[in-house]
Order: sequence, then C-alpha cells, then structure tokens
Amino acid sequence: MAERLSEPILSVRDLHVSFPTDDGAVLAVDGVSFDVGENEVLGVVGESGSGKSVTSLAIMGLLPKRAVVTGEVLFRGVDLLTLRERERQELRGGRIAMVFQDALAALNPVFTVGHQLAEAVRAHNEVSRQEAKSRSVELLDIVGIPNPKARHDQYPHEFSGGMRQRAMIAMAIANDPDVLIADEPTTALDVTIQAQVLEVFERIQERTRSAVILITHDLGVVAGMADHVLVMYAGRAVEVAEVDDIFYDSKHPYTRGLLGSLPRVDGVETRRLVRIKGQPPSLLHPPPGCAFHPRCDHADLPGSCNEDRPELAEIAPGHRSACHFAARLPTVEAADAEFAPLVDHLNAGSVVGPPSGPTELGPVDTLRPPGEAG
Amino acid sequence: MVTFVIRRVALSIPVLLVASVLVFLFVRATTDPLARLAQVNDPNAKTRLALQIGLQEEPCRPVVTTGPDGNAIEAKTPGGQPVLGCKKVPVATQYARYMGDLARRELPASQLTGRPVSQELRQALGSTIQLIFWGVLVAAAIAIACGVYSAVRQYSLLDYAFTGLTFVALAMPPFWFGLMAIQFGSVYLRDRFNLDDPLFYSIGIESDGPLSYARHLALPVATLGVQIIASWTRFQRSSMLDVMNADYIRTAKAKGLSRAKVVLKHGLRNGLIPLVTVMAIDIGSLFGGLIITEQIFSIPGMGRLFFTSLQNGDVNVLLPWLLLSATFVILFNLLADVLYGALDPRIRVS
Repeated sequence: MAERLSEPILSVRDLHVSFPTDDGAVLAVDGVSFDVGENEVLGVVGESGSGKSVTSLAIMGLLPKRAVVTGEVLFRGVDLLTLRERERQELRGGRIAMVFQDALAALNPVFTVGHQLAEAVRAHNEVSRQEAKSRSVELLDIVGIPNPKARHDQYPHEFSGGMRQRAMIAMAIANDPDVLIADEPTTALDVTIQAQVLEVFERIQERTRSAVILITHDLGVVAGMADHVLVMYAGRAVEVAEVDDIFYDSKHPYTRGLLGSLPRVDGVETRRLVRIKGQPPSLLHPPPGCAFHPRCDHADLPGSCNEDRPELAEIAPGHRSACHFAARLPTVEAADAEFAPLVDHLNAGSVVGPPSGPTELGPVDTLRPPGEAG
Repeated sequence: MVTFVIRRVALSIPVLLVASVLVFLFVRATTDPLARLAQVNDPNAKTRLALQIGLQEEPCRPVVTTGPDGNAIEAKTPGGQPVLGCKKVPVATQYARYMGDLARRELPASQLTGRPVSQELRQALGSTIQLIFWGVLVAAAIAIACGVYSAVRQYSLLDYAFTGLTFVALAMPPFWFGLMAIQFGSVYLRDRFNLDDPLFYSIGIESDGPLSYARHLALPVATLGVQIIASWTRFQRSSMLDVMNADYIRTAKAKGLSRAKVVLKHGLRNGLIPLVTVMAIDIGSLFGGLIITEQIFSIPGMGRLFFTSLQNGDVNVLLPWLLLSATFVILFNLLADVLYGALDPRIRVS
C-alpha cells in the first residue's frame, strides 16, 4: 500500500471555488487540500453536490468563467491557477487529462471515435494524420477494444456503453498524462462492464504510472483501486486517510454513514443498511459549525458541533478527520454492534418491511439521489 | 445513405400528388376564369374559353330556349350566330386531363400574354432565384456569424445588440422596410450627394456589369434578408448555446484544443445541423413567398407573376405557378431531411 515514495506530482492547496449567484455566493469547494504522487490513486468520495466534480474541473481549468477560484493547484511545483489560458491549454489533455462520466454525451456525435482520438494526439504532438491515426488505433487496442482498426472509423453511437467509456479512457491517455482525473468513470455502466473498465484503468496505470484522481460515489470502486481516500462533504474535506483506514478505522461520522449504507454480500453480518438521515446541506446557506451536524448521530447539540467548525486534524499518522469527536468515536466494531438490537427487532417481525438478512437491500439512495450525478 | 435518400424521395411523391389535387381544387373553387369575360356580350366567347381551359367539352349543340309564345327557338348571339352549349366536364376528369397535359408539356398558354406558361414561369423563376441566391447567401453568412458570436459571448454587449436588432428586424414588415430602403438608398442618398443616378436602384434586375448588378440587387436583397437574418440569427444562437453547454465541448476543451477549434469545429459542426434544415425549409417557401418584395422593387419574379395572374384571373398561369411553388416547398423539405441525415450520423442508420 502506498508509502509516499516520491514528491507529489499534483498538490492542491486550500482550494476554494465559489459561484456568484443572485442570492449570494455558492461555495462549492471550501479549502480542500490534497497531494497525489506518481503511480498513486487518490479516491475522492462524497454525495452529489459535495464538490468532487468542481474540484476536478478546477484542476483542469474547465470551470465556467464566473467561477471564482482561489488557492493553489501545484503541478510539479507550478501553480496552474497563475498560468495563462494558453499555457493551461497545453497542459490539458497533455500532462493532465480527464475521463468524464457519461461517455455518450462526452463524445462528439458527429465525428468518428478515431477522429476524436487522433485529434487528442495531434493537439499535443507534431505528427502527420497517418501517424496520429496509427497511434489512435493503438490506443483503442490498449484499452481493449476488439478489432480497433474497424472501430476506429465508427461513430460513438455505434459503440456500446462500455466501449465508449474505454474510448474516453483511450483519449485521456493519448499523451501519457502525468495526472489522470477520472470523474465517475463507471457510473453510467452496468456492473459487469464497470469491472472491465476498472480493470482497463488498472492496466493503464501500470503502463503510464500516472497519478490518478478517481472521483466516485461508489465505495466499492474506491476499495478496489484507491491508495488514499479523500471524503468530501459540502465542499470540504472531512476525512483523509489510507484506504484501509477509511474502511476499517474511519474517524468521521459521515464516512461511517457512507460505509453503513453499503450492502454486505459476504454474509458476515445481518445488520440492516443504515442511511444518513436528511439531505445534503445547501451550499448557499451552509449550517453553522460542522456542516454535517444536522445529520450526525454523534453531534453535541447545542454545543461545539453547531458552533465551531472542526478543522481537518491529524488523529493518527496519515489519517486526518474534521470532527470534534474524531478521537472519541466508538470503534467500527462497536458501532456495528449498535445495530444488533435493531436486527433482532426486525427479525422478530414487529416491523412491517422487507425481511432482513444478508441480501437485504435497504435504502441505498443516500449516495446518489436518482437522476443526479456527482 | 443511398437507401435513406431513396426512401425520402419515394415518400415525397404522394405528398406532391396530394398537393396537386388540393391546388387544382382550390383554384377551380376560388377563381372563375370566365369572369374576365363578364363584360363581353357574346355568350359564345365564354364557351370558347371554357372549351380551351377544359371546363367544357364537345359535343356542343345550339342552345334552345322557349320563345314568348311558347315555341322552342334557337338562341342567337348579338352577331346572329347560334349560341352553343357544351357538355360540362367533371372536376375529377378536368384534373386527370390537366395532369396529362402537364406530363406532355402541353399546358394552355397564359390568357393574359398569350405566351406559353413554361416560358412565363422560367423567366419569373430566373429573377426570383437570383434574389433568393444572394439573399440567402448574405443572410446565412451574417446569421451564422452573429448567432455563433452571441452564443459564445452570451450576455455580452454585442449579444444584447444583436438580440435587440433581431427583434427590430422581425418587427419590421417587408413592405415598410422595402419602401424605407428605397427612400433612403435611392432617393435620399441621391439628393444628399447630388448624384445623377440613385446609388441603389429600386427597379428590376439588370446586369450590365457586376457593379450595376449589385446596385440593382442591394435593396431587394436587403429587404428579403432582414427578416430571415433575424430569425436565423435567433435560431443559430439558441442551437449554438445548447451545443456549447454539451459535454462533448467540455471534452474537446479537456483535450487541449484551441478555443477556435472547440467553437468552430466541435461547436459549429453540431450547432449548424438544426439551422441548415430550417434554412432548407425556409428557402423552399421563398420561391413563392417574395410577392411583396418583388412587387415593391418591380422584379419580374414568381411573386409578381402570381400577383398579376391572380388579379386577372389567369388560371392557366395560376395553376402551374401553384404546382411549381408547392413542388419547391416539398423539394426543399426533402433536401432538409437529406441534409439532416448527411450532417448527423445518428440519423443515417435509423
């Protein structure tokens, strides 16, 4: 697991992004900092509207002009936010590339896939059309598209969902980027296809040794791929840790809530899925103190939780959490035990509802409300 | 793509047939070609015209009326000839015969000028096509440029200016704008600068050299263009706005393409699709739709031909005129469909 071997390739320092509206500024990203090094995968997790995508677009420099971005985005020590548009354009798709979530919408319907790939190659390399074409056929092959020569001249609508996402990945790695940002790369795909696409990602990363920022609401994807995890809530980082610490020793009630809403299919436990009560807060009028306090079971109210905003503080080496009670939270095992009475209660049949059991699916809508995307 | 085109062409044939039936019925129902002979005393003149147009057919017999004393007597014209009465032809038969004549290119000549209608229509079409060609060329160039600019720089000063101007242009009826254009471009400028000739001519299309051609066409083209520029600009702006917010534009930017390439290649290639089809449909209706503009600028085009034929009840011209302009509307709708398929690969397969 990831010991930091090298200097980070990309460092985000105290990133703030706000959008002015008629009702006031919406603070979409509020002081986020993180590092990603070579061959490292940072998973960024959070509900819709937690600022994951805005963070990635800020790194790419693709936010609309009205967005106010402050802080630092250091790429190999150079602050991208101070660069001119031309210089950023050279980095985009070259050194820093991005995979978008809905590949059907993200590919231009009127150009062939091969044309769009070759375009990415030619945007950063002085090569002939022929060379660009052979490179893009090669790219399609790398991401595992069968018969890449014929597929090269097809349009996006002639590709299946999984193949489109592979083509998106091929486009992103066209110039062997140092930083690869993947925004929900598997969200629009079937589960089986998701696994294939993730496998492509892993294979690609072995080749390119890129620093990968993997944005997702799918904790399963994070568990399989990420070295470090950044959990975001209401535009702020609430917990940062190595992936195992997130899953086995989370020190933030919100992360625990996310984990609790994951179904276990290994048959170990028979607890009911929990969901985080309430809705994500308005970014226009965020709650005072800790933004999570209205939904938190552990909140001290009224008290520190709705008065003081907890800062992200180191509670163990490499493990930071923004919670007043981070050190005092019960262990994960103990927290699971809290549900035991509830499970018994359900098994006794005194509550009308779906039978509980290992395969029970409780409310899973917490992570992604229908029709929305992170 | 070939089957796509063939299917669309095949589909437009029945549409054309239905249109021809309707046109024929409407003309027969609304225009009495014999009315222009209302002042003529000779009843046989009407009969001859009815025979020529195909409203009546042989056999013709002398008309017998009842005399004052109850006897049957033959009716006489003022010239003393027997009045002839012929058999009426049912409308369905009239239509069938007319289409037969059309297929054999044996349409009756214009009642007004006596020239073959094909010649009349060809001449009129020639003038109108020149007007449409230049008008559409200028309008498309301006509308696309303004529309794209407005979309890319939404809510900029120029965007607001274009929006304001398009509403002004849409609110100006062509007859008003045409007269104002003549007043300014022909009369005012000539008087103001003491010119011998008007800077822009207000009558006809002449072409002794490109400069004279341009001076003749400038005002009618402007009159025709103002309205279509306005509506096409609005259209291009909104379609381009949609496109520029699409995910694939973000992808194009993320690839590191230049702004010009993002807008003009990825944006415009998609943003033009709706406009091109709208343009094709609009152009189709222009062939018969420039009545006011041609009237104001005395251009002997299709619109003017229709107007004079209508005024004089010249069905021999009206009928083929209507059929021709209906054909253009259908043809350009077909073209719109085919262009849509050619520009959007997603349409081609389905």
